[in-house]
Amino acid sequence: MSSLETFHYDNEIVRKFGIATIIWGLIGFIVGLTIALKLIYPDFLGFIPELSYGRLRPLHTNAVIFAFAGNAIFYGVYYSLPRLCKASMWSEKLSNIHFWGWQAIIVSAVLTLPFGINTSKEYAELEWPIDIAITLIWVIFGINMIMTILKRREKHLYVAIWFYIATFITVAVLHVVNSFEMPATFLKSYPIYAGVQDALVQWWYGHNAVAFFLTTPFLGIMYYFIPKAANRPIFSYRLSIVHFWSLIFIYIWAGPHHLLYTALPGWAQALGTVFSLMLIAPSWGGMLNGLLTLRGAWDRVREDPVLKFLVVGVTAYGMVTFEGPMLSIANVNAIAHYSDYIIGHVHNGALLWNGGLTFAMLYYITPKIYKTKLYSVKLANVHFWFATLGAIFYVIPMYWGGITQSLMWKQFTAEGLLQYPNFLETVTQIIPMYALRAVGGTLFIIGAAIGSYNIFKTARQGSLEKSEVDEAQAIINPAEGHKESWHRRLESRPLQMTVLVLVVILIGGIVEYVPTALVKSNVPTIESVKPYTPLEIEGRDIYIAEGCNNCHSQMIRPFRSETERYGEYSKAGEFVYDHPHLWGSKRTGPDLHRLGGKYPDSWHVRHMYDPTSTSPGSIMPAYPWLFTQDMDKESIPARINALRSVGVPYVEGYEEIAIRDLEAQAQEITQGLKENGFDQIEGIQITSDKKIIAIIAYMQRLGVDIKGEENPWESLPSSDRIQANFKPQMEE
Amino acid sequence: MYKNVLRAIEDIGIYPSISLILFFTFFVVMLIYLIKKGKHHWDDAARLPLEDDKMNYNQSEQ
Repeated sequence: MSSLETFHYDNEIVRKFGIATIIWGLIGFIVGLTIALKLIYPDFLGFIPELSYGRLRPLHTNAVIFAFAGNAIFYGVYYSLPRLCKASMWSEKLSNIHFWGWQAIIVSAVLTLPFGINTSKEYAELEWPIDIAITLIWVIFGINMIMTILKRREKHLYVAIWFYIATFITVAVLHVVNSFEMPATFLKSYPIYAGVQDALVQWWYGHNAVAFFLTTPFLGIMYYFIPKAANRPIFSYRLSIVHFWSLIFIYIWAGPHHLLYTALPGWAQALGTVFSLMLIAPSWGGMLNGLLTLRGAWDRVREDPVLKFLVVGVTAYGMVTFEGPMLSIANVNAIAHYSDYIIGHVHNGALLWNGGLTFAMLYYITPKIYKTKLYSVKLANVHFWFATLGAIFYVIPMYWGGITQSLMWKQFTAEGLLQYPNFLETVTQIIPMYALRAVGGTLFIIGAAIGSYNIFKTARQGSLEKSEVDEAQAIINPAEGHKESWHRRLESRPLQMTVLVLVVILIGGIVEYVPTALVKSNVPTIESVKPYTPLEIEGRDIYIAEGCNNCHSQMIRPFRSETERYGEYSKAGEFVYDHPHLWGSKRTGPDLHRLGGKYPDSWHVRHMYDPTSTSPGSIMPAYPWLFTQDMDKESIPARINALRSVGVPYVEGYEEIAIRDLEAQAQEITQGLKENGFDQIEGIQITSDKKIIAIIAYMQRLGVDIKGEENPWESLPSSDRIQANFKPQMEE
Repeated sequence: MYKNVLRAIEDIGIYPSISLILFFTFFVVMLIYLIKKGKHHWDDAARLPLEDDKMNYNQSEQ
């Protein structure tokens, strides 16, 4: 029998993450409200490039996911992990590097995304130097966590810790694999994957970011804080074992449900659907396990704001994880995908599940570490109702609007023509829903502000116990072979546990993704598809910088309603040079994949300068700065080099003559505009070195190759010499 | 190259089915095991979050 050892819990780091959660949360919510207002009043805040919808939307999603939920995860982990391990965090220094490093990453997001520096990959928009920083900081967090677990005084690893381990391991794998990119300049890179493969890897990442960043860590938090708040053990520990292993195994397969009816190979789509449907079982098992823990304690839910937020959070989790599998069924997906229904779905999860659990933790932990009582239970209840009603007012209009719009897209007249051939009609129809959504968001923000004030006052009335003393016996011999069953043995062996988790999540990743990424027959080649010209590369990069993909898809599904509206459906082979893919996930505006040749250049000039001049009532922002800002010619050689190294077949040395091609093509477009009376618009001269020319070149190229009518390279100077620009695509 | 090695694998489509079967086997074995072990086998583990507030907590020693 060893003697008791004394150790400390570091409450200072918990406090820091708590403050960061609140501050970034409020900022993230307000940015969200700003872009919600921009959909109702497109000219809200004027047309300032840094505040345009396409640039702010990634800022909103990143702020809410990585800054608000991210800091909340660390808040929960740094509080619960040492207490469950009966040990101090392994290194206070690493805790602090983790904290400040993470905040620096968030600041770098704020300093890049609004300035048009982004990769276009959803929830992975940050450029390559920041990707490297994220990896380093994440590893520091992991080391600190694993070492704390190894130095623990409690032999048994509680289920919450398994979820934390799975979070660390899987997010590391996802982030690294999805971030394989070739830097072209200091803040510009191209992913090594193209088209279909890029989309598959992106949604494997995107889906599992939801799974392992917004779900598993919060499940760990649920498994710790519900028993704490209800003061009773979890309903069924056995269920939590089933929950854990099934969830992490199945989740990793479900990514392709984001790509149903796209150019992704059919077998991968089918697999994604099957696993998504199976996912309902562990998700609901976990939800019920959380809720049933409260059996016999339901009366306390009426009084305790912590329990209220936990209950509404876990209930929302149940709703969202029911919706998820349903949305993965092909016919449901056909209606819901690309619509605002999905925006409602994710906000149900973000506002109530992640938000609810986060505020529950804040209300639980703050009085504990400040050795005081909650400043006002009444205010916390007011917050609860604002949050719940706010979420309802947000989510229901989005469901309603999303389905309405989607059905309008698909509506045919008795004569077999599209009933709403003008896309804009389907947008103006749901603007009242956008307005209601903004009301819901406002209510939620008011609630969060009240909650933050309450937390602040609670902290002010108490005093922080920076270092909390506890005592426990050391583990005499961790490897001691008790006659234990295998899972119990596993639960006291963190390293084996970690390895097993890695194996389980890699199975899905490798079996599903490697074949698609590498088997050539999955992406049939199309001979007439050619690489982008230098001017089109610049145009495409401007499209990415402005975040056009946040509202416009480039993926026409094989439905009559879509081929009638947009043209020939999209084929996998059309995207082989698309680094990155720009399929998009939401159609606030129409699909653009067959935009090329649809309108004259002059239409694009007018439309980009003032969308309402060509489309009255349009809610697209105007892009006047494209007419005054110069395109970036200087880095064209570097970008061509980078694209070549990821597989686009530009011949060696092409980068040296590329500028000539770029200028020739730009001249041709500018000349054509001039001949049609567009040498200026509203007093602004249209010259060949402005961004607008590049983006017109790109938009006129979209989806035309498959027709094989004209060769976009034909009239460029480099075509005079054979083998001067790119090697034609050939089967190996 | 490694790409060609993977391309050369025949019937790669069967791999997902194999892993599905693997998972189901694992799942069923786990269920049987958990049911056999009984409800109270993990009682002490389930109480872990509740005990961390107490001082002088004694570890479960068999």
